[in-house]
Amino acid sequence: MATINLDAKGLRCPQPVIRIAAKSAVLNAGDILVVAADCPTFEQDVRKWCGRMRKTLLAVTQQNGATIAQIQF
Amino acid sequence: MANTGATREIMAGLGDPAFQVDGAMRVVDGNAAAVRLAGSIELSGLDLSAVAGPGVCEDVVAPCLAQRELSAKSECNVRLWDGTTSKRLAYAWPNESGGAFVVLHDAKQVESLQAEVQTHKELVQEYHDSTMELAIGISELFEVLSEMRKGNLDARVSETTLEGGNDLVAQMGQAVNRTIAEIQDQLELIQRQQFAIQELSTPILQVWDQVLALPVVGVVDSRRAAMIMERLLSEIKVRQARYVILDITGVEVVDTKTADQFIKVIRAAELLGTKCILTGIGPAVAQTLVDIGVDLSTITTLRDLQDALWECLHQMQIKASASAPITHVR
Repeated sequence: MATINLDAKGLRCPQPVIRIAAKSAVLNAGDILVVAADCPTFEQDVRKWCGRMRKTLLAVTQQNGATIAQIQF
Repeated sequence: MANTGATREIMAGLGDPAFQVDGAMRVVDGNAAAVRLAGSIELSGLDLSAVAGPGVCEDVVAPCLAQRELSAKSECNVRLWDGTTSKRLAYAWPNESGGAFVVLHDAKQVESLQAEVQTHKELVQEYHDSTMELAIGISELFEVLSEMRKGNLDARVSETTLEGGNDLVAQMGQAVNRTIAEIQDQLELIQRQQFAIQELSTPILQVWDQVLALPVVGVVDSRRAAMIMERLLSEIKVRQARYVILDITGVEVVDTKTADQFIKVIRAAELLGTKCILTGIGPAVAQTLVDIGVDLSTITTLRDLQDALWECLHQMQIKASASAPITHVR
């Protein structure tokens, strides 16, 4: 089980979730992807994305002006 | 102009929307018309755009604050939300509390502006929803392609995405699903053909009563050897064979592994009480077998299928004679 970071800061919707999708190609079941993004709608977007893609959103936190989402694949 | 009760009275007497903002450009007070414009919500602490639409902060209040030492009325332009049109919509004066007193002298224009902003917001939301659908669709395509790469051909783009309203994603999803289905069909066809080829590549012939012949053609790897063994043992049992002729005339290359596979097949057949004869060893194969030191001393080898069949018949005749009752001729 690996933990991978993805920096999506500076990207606007829907680019952060597309980056997540692209990253998911190299992830295996159980891996955790930690995404940092500063798009204002990112939290709403990542929640919707996880719901539709059947991924587990472990946590959403704020850190230095960025939203950090932890997603388990 | 002081931010006092007098200011409130002035504002109350105005038919146009009037309000005061603090130094941070937050609305701190407003008259009835301003409240009507902003809605039923309380004005205090509101963002200025809730009262007068976007652009007012930058284009009315900020210049007003910059000119506060002049204490003069500033007639300001307010840009419409798309940033392309300017209208003179407001007067503003710096007040003594570091903010400004603003009167919108064309409330209808402001209302129109607000309506446009609302439409713009709805369009932005619609655009956001639409791009999210696109992003989720692309995500699914990524996932399905990734699963396909891992060998899982059962993954498909979901109906939710296909019917999600985004034509582009739906078309791409349908194309991906169709392609996977076609690949699956082709793989099944290839598997069926492979099976047929394997069946044809190891024909087991009954050349005489209780005598089977197995001509082997091509390369024999461990998978094919296992199949040959399985089929041969099964045929030996079904046909009650006593002899098996393994003809390798069609095998051009024999290495240690291939030789080992043949020996295993022969030994397995012998465990069922069947005698095996190896035929068709060509000069090149013979040379290779000698070079690599394969021990075939315990296996009967003959030149060709005909010799092997004669040998089988001869052996059967000897056995028949040996088992026949002894008769004395007088």
